[in-house]
Amino acid sequence: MVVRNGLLVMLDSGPKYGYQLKMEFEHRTNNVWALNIGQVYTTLARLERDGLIEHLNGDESDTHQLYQITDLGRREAREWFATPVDRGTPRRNELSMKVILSLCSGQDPRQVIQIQRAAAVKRLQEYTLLKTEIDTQSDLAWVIMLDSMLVETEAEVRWLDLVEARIIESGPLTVQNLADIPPLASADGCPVEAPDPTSELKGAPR
Amino acid sequence: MSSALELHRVSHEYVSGSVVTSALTDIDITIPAGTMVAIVGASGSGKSTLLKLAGGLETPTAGQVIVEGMPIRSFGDARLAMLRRRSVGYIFQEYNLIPSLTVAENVSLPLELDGVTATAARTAALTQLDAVGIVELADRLPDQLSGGEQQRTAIARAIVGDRTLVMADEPTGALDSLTGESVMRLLRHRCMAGHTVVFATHNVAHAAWADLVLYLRDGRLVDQTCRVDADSLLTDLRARA
Repeated sequence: MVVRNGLLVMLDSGPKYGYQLKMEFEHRTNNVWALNIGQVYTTLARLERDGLIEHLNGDESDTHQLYQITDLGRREAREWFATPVDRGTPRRNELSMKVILSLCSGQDPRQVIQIQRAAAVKRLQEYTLLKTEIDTQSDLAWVIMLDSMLVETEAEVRWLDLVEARIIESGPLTVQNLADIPPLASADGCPVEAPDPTSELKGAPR
Repeated sequence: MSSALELHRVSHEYVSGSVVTSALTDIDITIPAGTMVAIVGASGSGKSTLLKLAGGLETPTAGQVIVEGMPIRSFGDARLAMLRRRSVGYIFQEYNLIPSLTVAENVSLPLELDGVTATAARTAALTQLDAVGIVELADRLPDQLSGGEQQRTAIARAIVGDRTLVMADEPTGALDSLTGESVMRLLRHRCMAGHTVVFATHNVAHAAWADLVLYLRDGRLVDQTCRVDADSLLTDLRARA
């Protein structure tokens, strides 16, 4: 969607060739997002099929066609800016599941949290290091991209801190609650004996 | 690279009546000169205590704190006071500037208290105010400055003279995101100029400006992450974006 709408936005300021669109897209985004020229032409073909753009000259060769935006395309570009990005339904991410499963697997969930947090802090350090090396005025597109990655990673650390605080506050009760879930039946129909998930935690330092 | 600060098996307890509270347990850290170190952790994790011990404001119950190669446990009161005055600069969340003194006077005050003449102290203050980018504000009073400018004044005060070790407790705690980032950028530049900066923060994004991030939990050092080498990182990230 970014490439499709990005090309429409580029064409909104006047007719352009495919290669020109690629260069302008990369220049305007400070090369944060590199475009494959093949992808540009494929997207242009779809935009033309949907009536959002049209080509001005009769040359059938893709590389020599000059494209311009239609009124429909202009409306689509405006609508894109006016509409919030749909983040979709929150997915069941691996990290949440890993922490949840560690509660009933005999693992110390705080260890899982700490390993993840160390990795996240390292990522934060990497992004920050990049920020120290760029001019925030002239490379604004890149800074905005880095800020987005930084804030997302920072949110992950804050979530890990919150989970850790909840686990510490709940103590073994949280784990006990999970242990109260009826054991699964084995293939032969007999209940599977669940290991005591609190055994590790009970002895762990608080 | 020589070490600016070392903590060897440092533990600290606070006693209140019959109640003994363990604030720090078995902390081992070596901080090379010219590095930036962040201490992060929840409230009560021991961040401020660690800063106080490292800066010689308190003496640990057990273990050894070594500043610029000298164990401070061996120092008498006079020498400890000199260490605090001449070697270590402090930055606080609320700036702690004296409202009736100008920016330059706030910065020159530690030198004048140490016997430096007023003229020489002002010259040194102006040099540091220039280093933190606010020399044109030298004759203003603190309440005429923004929060970011007041914190820059506090940083100039912390590094004036020959002090190379800077301790900061939540230096960005009272600032908005962009101003906080500019303060971190400034502290980073101070490190590149040879200062060693140790700061406590609850803001992990600001901690990421440090070379070394120490994670405290319940008074124990549970993790530390070192800053990576910048080589090829930029290329990798641009490729991944």
